[in-house]
Amino acid sequence: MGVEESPTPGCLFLDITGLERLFGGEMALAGQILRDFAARGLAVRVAIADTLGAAWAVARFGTGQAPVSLFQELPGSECGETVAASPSPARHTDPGPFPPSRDHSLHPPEQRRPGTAIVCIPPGQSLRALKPLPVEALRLPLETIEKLHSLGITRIEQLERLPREELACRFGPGLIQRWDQALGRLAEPIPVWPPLPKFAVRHELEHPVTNREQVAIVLEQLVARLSEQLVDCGCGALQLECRLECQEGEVVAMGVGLFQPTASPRHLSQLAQTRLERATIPSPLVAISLGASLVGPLEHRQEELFVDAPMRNGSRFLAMLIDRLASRLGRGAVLRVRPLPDAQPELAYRYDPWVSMRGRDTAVRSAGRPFPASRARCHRPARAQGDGQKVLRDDPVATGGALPPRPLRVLRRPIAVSVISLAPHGPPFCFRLRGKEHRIAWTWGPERIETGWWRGPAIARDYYRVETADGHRFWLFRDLKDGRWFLQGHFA
Amino acid sequence: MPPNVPVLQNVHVLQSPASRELIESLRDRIASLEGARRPREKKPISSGCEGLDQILPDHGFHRGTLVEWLASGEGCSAESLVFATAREAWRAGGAVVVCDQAQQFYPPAAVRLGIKPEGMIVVQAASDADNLWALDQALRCPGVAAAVAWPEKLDPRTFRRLQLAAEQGGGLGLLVRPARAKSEPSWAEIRLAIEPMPTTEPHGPRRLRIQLLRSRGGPTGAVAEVEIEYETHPLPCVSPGPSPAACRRAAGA
Repeated sequence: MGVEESPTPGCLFLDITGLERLFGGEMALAGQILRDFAARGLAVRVAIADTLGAAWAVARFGTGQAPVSLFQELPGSECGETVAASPSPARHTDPGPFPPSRDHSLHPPEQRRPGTAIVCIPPGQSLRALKPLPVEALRLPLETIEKLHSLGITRIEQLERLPREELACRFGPGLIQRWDQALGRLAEPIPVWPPLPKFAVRHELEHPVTNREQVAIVLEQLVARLSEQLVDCGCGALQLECRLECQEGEVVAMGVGLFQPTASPRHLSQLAQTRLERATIPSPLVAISLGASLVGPLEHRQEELFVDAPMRNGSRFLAMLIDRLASRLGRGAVLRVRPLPDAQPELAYRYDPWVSMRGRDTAVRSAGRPFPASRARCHRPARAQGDGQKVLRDDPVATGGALPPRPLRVLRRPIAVSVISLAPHGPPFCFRLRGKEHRIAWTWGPERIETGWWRGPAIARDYYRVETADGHRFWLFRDLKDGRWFLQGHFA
Repeated sequence: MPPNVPVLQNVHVLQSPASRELIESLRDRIASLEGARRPREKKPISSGCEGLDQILPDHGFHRGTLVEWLASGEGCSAESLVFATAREAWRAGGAVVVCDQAQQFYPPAAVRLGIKPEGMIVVQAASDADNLWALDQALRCPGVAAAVAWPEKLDPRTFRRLQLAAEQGGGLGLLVRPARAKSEPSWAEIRLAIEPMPTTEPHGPRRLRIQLLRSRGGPTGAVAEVEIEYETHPLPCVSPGPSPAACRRAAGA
């Protein structure tokens, strides 16, 4: 049994060679797998095939139309997927999504059929089953797929008609390898997935303790023990969880997320202590436990982020800085910037926490974390990008290249200002802000920013950059819907 | 408050080589008394603005120091200079930490100035204390090229702590402060006052007046009038409406 080797694994592989007899046939075995997962609340899709590659392909991309597949309608089953590979004459099975895969973005919905939760390719029929599938089903790297698409090759049957030698020299050996693996011409072992040991330590105190210094000492010992465990396995903690058990039965749980896996006792202890300082302990403590609930391999490679840095150690120090900041201020307060191609100024970037949980559950966890309303509102998910906004510019010069300047300081929420303009739809002439009147000497604009109504609340604004008589520069806009004026930012 | 520094402004009257040597050694002694333990050989960081570099003692800012920018109110373009300096520091390696307690920092503008988004760490602390703590931590970190913050209130002890932090970490601490902080004591190596100058022509550059208020161990008072490249205008001055001069007249100004 193993897990798909991928940064975002979505499949479990199971060798079921010879097992079907014990369960009364392959379909019965698949049904059993499905029921077992369902009992845990996971909806999966099971595919049984001669090879790992074929099973993966059918589980991910197989539709009901595959000529050789059998379907079993299971009422109410949603679609995750499960792969079963079984090289003939030997037979294998392998079930699906790891962790519970609801990741519909990976697969367009039409490729998933609720109800066809089990697909079985009879022995020797792999090629027939694979032919109608898209080339993506061969587990190819994205570049290869793009190359194939650019040549108009989208289905495996098109690929099959091409001469093998040419495929190899045009697309590299990877394509041929996957192709052979899917058809069973090349053996592919199931990658073994050894269960990770649980990293946890616990200390029971002889007497209930209230003294924080004592708690800190115990915590430090626990950290030392934990870090030994981690180092032995070549792992670093990505998330620490500390539980203080009190006399009255309350449990104070503290979690610390880390930016990079680390097993350094000093660093871990610093982070744990920072959290301890801020924790309130309701009654004397009887036990303390510490665990690494999320670990990653200890790597000593340069992080990609600060690759420009000539100092090699810089990124390590930065990782530690980020951990320290996030452990005191919270994960949501230490942010990285992601620019988005959006015309609306507030949506032209997004903040993501630097410290994120790795892997699939990132989304789950970060979604569970409440962000301040104002921020949640103006940071759209990435899918909002690129759909349907337009910028109309009055001026042919501006269309030549970059957007007009943006101020370095932008108000979180635009402030309504009273503006006098000389023409009804003309530029502002003077505005009043916090009781002070600003006479405008220069105006640049308007820069009209409109967004499509289909994207949510539409905006239509005329932005002006203005300079007051004393040389200060502001960014104002008129809401075209009601003609009101707002201050959006200042050119600081 | 740091000790008052004798300003060696009139040294040029002493021309003989021996006295020049003497003065050099005195300068070094003063520098060491001040505790400015910066390595001499390290190249200072340019401010990214030639006019400003001209009035700085070594034509740039030294690593491991604080620079105070006194901005004359909102919209005076001081931050454009600050982030241009941060960019220069960032180019030499490291990250830029932005302690943005007010949550008004607009990253796309910094990206436009040339700092890559992945080179920025934005910290949004909830309180003044947390903000200063974050700034302190950032300055202490050797991986940080520059830390930018907008501390309004800064008591001398905290200020001194920040200065020591910068010295330890080797980054540049860029503090943007209101003009009224001018009367407060400072532990910054350089203190600059930024004032905008009214634009004279519609497509003209953004002009600023910068005064060197304080420079540890160097002459002060120099004034530079600089043009910054960043805010040039791809959009034309408003054409359909009346001209600014006409506006002024119409308003009876």
